[in-house]
Amino acid sequence: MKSAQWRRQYRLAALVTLVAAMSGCTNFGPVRTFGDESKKLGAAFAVFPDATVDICRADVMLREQAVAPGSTFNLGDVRAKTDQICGPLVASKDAILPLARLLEQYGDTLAALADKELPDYSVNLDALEKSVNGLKLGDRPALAPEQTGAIMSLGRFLSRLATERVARNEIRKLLEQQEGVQATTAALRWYVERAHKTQLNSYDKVLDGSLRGMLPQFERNEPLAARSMMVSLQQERERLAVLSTAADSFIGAAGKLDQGRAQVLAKLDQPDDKELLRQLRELAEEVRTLRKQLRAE
Amino acid sequence: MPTHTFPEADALADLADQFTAVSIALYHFRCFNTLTAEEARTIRDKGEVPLDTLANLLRAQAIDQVVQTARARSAELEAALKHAEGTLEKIKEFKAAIDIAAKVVNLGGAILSGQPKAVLEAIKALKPKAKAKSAELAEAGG
Repeated sequence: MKSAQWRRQYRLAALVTLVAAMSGCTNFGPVRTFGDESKKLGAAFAVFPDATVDICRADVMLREQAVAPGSTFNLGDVRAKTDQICGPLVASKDAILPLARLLEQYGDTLAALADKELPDYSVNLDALEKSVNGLKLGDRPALAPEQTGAIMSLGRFLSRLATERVARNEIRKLLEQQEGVQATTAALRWYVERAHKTQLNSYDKVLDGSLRGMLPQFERNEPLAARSMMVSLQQERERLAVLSTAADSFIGAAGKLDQGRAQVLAKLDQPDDKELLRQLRELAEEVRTLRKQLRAE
Repeated sequence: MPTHTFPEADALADLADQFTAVSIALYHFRCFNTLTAEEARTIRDKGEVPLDTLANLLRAQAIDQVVQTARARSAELEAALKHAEGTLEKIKEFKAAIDIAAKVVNLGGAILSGQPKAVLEAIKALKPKAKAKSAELAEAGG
């Protein structure tokens, strides 16, 4: 009788050990990387609407300053014109930023679901184990050590399995959101290409006209002021070049993000796949370059 | 694979770009020609300013269209995110439940041991959560 009971306990412990070992290979590393990079890309976007508005204001200011020698310059009028010309772009900032935040939130949620710490309740279960071991009937332990061990192995396995299964389901559902993710990145890319880069290019032409045509006219009567302005405008052109490169990097990284999502989904059960890891490294590199360029701006 | 283009927004942005191009051409005319202050002011105020204003109004309209289209296409994504966040909360609650379970087992152990002091200590370990919970409820109620 007693030996049958021991056999049952032994079988239970062996089964628990085997299944726990099998489930131990869960690896959400690629999901975590993809989530982190999506979050960084979403956060990096905020620079572009701000820069678009700044450049619009700088453009208005420069064109007003450079009307013609002898013309009046009223700061109040200039401010009113700036609000009139750049106002629509200020309003657009509020419209586009929620999409960047959506991408950021998407990445954040994926990274949280793939968090190494999330499926592991061992710390909490250790406390439970201590409590179970401390159960006493009179002076003797209420449960045999084998029984406590079997209970805790099963509890540990079930809690991790349950959490991993829930997390995996949510991760899969989020990675399957092709339409929404692509629409979001496409909208952000559109903004960078058609609103931000257009503003950069226009201002660059204005700077070019000022440097080659307007300032030489002023230089005849006010050489010091005109030359000082030339230096500032040249620096401004360099800043535009950095922003333009960053804009291209954003467009490239957003494209890689779309491909990355499809790859991570397709290889959710092959987290060590070399091609997947290579693509994610490329995405991370692109995002790193973008952030570096934006810091230099 | 769906294509994510924004043809209507592109048409508006194209038009905006044309207005901008004319405005820049006017500015270059000012830059490369000797004009009186009055002539330059007229070109600026009657030409460049209205053209730039119109261009940015069109651009803003194009951006609104892009955003509206993207939001309509990402409604399902937003719903999936809400669901996932709810699950994350539940997982955290589960973690808290295991903590409470350990404390309840401790209380059971104390009762089994028949030592009043141990029982009191085990009850005390459970109390802070209850206090915090009642504080939360009071705050929500007030």
